Amino acid sequence: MQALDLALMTERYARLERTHDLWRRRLKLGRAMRWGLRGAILGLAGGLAISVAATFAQALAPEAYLRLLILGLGLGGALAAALALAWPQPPLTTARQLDGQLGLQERLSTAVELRRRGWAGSGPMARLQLEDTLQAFQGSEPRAALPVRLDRRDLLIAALLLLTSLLAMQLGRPAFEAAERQQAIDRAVDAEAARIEALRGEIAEMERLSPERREALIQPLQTLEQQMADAHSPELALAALSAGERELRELARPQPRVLTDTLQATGELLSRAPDQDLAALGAQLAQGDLQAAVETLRQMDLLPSSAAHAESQARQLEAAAETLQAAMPELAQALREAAASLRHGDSVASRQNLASAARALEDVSQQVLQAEMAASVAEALAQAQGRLLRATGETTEAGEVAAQGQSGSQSRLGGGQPDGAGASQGQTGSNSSIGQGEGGGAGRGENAAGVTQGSTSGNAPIAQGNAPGDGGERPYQPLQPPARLAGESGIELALAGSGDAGELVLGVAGSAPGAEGAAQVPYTAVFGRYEAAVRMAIDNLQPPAFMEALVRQYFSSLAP
Amino acid sequence: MAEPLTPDQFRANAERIEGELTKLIVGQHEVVRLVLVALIAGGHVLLEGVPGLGKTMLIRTLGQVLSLKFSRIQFTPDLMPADITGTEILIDQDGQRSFRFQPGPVFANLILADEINRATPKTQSALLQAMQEAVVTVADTTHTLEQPFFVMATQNPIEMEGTYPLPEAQVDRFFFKVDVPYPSTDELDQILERTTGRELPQVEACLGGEAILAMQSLARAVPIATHVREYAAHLVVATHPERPEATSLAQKFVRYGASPRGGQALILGAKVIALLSGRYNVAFEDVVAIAPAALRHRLILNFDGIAEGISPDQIVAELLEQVSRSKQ
Repeated sequence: MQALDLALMTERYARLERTHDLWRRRLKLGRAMRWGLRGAILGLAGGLAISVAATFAQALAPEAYLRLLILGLGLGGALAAALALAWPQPPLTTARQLDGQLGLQERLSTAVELRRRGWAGSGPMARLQLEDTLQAFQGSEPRAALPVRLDRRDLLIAALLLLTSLLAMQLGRPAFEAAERQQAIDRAVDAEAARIEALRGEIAEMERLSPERREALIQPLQTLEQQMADAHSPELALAALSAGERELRELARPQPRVLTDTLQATGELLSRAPDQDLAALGAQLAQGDLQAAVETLRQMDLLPSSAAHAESQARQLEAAAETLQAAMPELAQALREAAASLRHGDSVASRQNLASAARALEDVSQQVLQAEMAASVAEALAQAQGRLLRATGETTEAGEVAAQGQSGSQSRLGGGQPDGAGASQGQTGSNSSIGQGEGGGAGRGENAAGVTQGSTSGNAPIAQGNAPGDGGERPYQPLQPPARLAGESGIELALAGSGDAGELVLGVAGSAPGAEGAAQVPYTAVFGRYEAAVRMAIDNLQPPAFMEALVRQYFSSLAP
Repeated sequence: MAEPLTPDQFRANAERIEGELTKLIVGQHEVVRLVLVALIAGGHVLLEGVPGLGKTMLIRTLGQVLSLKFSRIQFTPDLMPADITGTEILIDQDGQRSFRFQPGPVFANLILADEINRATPKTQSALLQAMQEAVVTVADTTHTLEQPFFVMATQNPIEMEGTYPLPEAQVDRFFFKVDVPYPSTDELDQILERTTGRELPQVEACLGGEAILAMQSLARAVPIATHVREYAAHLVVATHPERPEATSLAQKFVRYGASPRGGQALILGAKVIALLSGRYNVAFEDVVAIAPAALRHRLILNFDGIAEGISPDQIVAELLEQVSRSKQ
């Protein structure tokens, strides 16, 4: 082929190539759109399959369902379109494709092949072929011949899949609601776990407590945190909280208020003492300033001016010891020994005994602090159980309202408030009723939908007077602490507290037979037995796990 | 050296030949076109049709139009090979005797082998070497035939008594086998009008052997894309029943598939068709257009095929339908 012809053909082929490139891009765009739609269909189908599976496993909220569908749709479409755009398309392949689509009768692919061979051996026919191709190629209308449009079948499939998605969403509504309830419960559990962690942090930074006592408080909380993390159901979380609370209640024994009130009563007793040192000690104890009292006691050096004075001081100490005997026997013993030393005029022994009493008081102080902290944490755990129960009850309530009409009878467990809020087990056909609620709602809880009969126990503090057969319809008689523990012949007592339910009632003297119908045994004494019986019942798993918190809460509310 | 033929001249020549032929041949455009294609591609044609359809007239007219040396051989059962190829004859000249080769009718440019299936296979085979190699060997002497050399044979499909079907090897040497259809009523009416009048149409010789050879050369220069060529190859391969690519009809009813000559005929014929269509490359449709003529006589049916009355054209039609172009 002559050089002139070659140059001419090169120029013509360059024109052909430009047009070819333009149309290749159009082909690519069309392909990307088609494959994008197919990818979107695949993504949507995958998302739908996963969503439906997760929905029926009650593990997906509607928002997550939609997100998953949109993610599948978008990701599948984008990936497929990107892949189609990036997929290499050799010019010869697109030339053949264009030949077919534009009706070029293999002109373009022949021209491309001839160019690849460098038009070798083609002679003048190659030039004619190239010009013919160029003419035919440029005469074609790409918009008409290569419309960038989507496959109707693909569109139909996509529409069907979208409809199926919506239908599945509609059908999966009960499952969505169950999932939402579960998520709300999980959130509540997580929130409680966070609170427990915060509590543990506070305890760890509490320098007033000795490291051993701090550790004693932290250890159950750590265990509880772990259990909460592993808890996959509200029942497990409640059981863990209940166990933690129980452990901390043990640490809070004796009750800190018993100790502080005993010390306060002792302080008030001592503050009336004629001896200045003892009066000062009494004032500090009465004010609850135990650290100052420890220091005062440690530095106290009772130097009686006379035997009568010594006897007076000894009696004061013995009276104080008597007050402390029940709650703090070691301190009481140290004070008695100090009193005895005073009577014997042994000032050295007296100082030593007072120092022992100071150590005992310091120990009591730590004990009080630990017990206060333990009680506080236990209370927090009890509240956590209440919150968790409420969260469970609220979500269940929502679920029940939504599911009304599907089940004719549901048993209800939980607070017997008139609005029926409480944890519901959803057991059908159960009509037994246990427990009661505020306002005489035993066994009857009304909600917006009507009266629901079931096994219901209130989560609010419930007073005594819930006699069997009452059906909870008789008003409760409030539990009142006895005004005079030892009866008519007893010692005059200064009873702490207002007498309100749950208020601490502290007896400072031994019990004595009283008149019939009057309280003869200190409330604190009987409560321990009751609580022990309840604890044993809980330990034996007699009440259901999710009821445990409620029972404990009930007895906590009665705790002196 | 003469100027090479241009594609425009090629088309003009072809149109002139067709124009002259159609003066005498009414209708039969497809037959005329295929005969012309085979002539330009350098192949031979076997025309098959009932008597009176103008087969002989077509070929005789072609001989007149091309102003080439034309000879007609009427094949009969007693025709001998030497009657075709020629023979050594004893010459007594000036008292000296010698043998001299007397060329037979095969030594022409256009051969009309009329009713070829009436001769014995031995005589039919006398054409084999001439058709394939354009040479004739007689008494250890090889004589080259003049180019262009074009054999057009006719055969009658209905009078089978006393006929000798062409052997496969010889059939394969025909570039195309063209079925001559019965004319339509209108065409028949035209035939009657033209042939029963006082004056018969006269054809003019318009092209010589040089022009035909130039056309043959130009046709071979037409480029063909790889995938189109592969398509033709797949068509041929798909006729072989033992090949996995074979179509279902081919697997069931074909004993032997098309030979490589079938593929050559597809490509060469398609190139001529492309040029005649004003294109400078071969398209799929060119291959499709000549596929029945190029393949039908190369498919040897088995007993089932013959018994069930399967025609090779049905098998070719299925081939064209099933062999994918997109895979090429």
